[in-house]
Amino acid sequence: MQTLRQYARFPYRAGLAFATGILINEKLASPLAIEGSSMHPALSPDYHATGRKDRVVFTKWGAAHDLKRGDVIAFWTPHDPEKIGVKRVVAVAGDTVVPRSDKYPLREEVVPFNHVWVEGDNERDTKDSNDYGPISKALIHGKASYIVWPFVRFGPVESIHAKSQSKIRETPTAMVVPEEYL
Amino acid sequence: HGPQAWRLAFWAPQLFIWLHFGIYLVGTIKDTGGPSMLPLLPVSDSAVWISRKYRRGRGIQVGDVISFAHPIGDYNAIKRVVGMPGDFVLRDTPGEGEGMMIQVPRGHCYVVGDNLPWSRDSRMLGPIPLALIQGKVNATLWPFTRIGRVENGLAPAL
Repeated sequence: MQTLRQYARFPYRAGLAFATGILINEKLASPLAIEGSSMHPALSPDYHATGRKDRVVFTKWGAAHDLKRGDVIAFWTPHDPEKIGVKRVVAVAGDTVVPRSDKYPLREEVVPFNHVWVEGDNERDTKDSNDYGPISKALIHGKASYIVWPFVRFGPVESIHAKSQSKIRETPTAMVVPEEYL
Repeated sequence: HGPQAWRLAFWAPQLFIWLHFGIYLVGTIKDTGGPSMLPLLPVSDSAVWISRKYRRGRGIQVGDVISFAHPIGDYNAIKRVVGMPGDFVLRDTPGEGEGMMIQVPRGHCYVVGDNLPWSRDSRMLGPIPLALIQGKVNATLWPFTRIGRVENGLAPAL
């Protein structure tokens, strides 16, 4: 009996470590490597030249609830359910957006309730709400908080308000739930 | 008592971690409500088993019943999948509207409640991203008299 316990101890602890990792990644903080240069120069500024990726920690707890214009978020992309995109929130529910791209099917759009309009900082190399429209907050994975690697770039991810090539008319009051969805 | 309190402080966090692990990767029991999935699910006091194996639409097929995070309301909803990416679906209720067919976009699915007149679904929201899918409704657990597997609704042609 004593030996069985000894043999079971290591697999149990390994499993517990894995389960703890999932809990932390889902509820507290999730690290991601930023691929692509769509967030140049804020994140992965050398990506197009050297391929060097910034490692950023995204906070999970309540991330989608208190979002402001200018915050950087990670979200499951609407066109590929296994892919995470990292973009900046430039408009929140109730704001009117005139998309920078003339390929967008609407001249202007009011961001629906529980949605945000996201854009990459580098407008020449980004696929964002100008292509797929506003995204639901239910798709949000986390809110960018710190660059942790490479070490020389260690520091907070700044929230930059009004960084967009699209025209945003901000709503003065927070939008309320539409009656038909109560 | 001292030693017992220590033992509890040691095991309670581990139990919590394993519980979260199971709910996240295996599945979860959820209570349901509302008329949209009659007659499969009653209007109130029912519970279902939601398998997380199918999270984000992995392995979901037309006819499956899914639980998904509602894109506008801040809650989860249960509906049936009637179209996967690339499929052509009737946009409105059969017999109403102009009979327009639309193609479900990449990464999306078209969901409709079984109780057509009493359901708010893709006919109102449009196609929803597969990434919103929390899991597949595999079985009804409550009420006890209705316990059983939830079958795929796509009946084979005779």
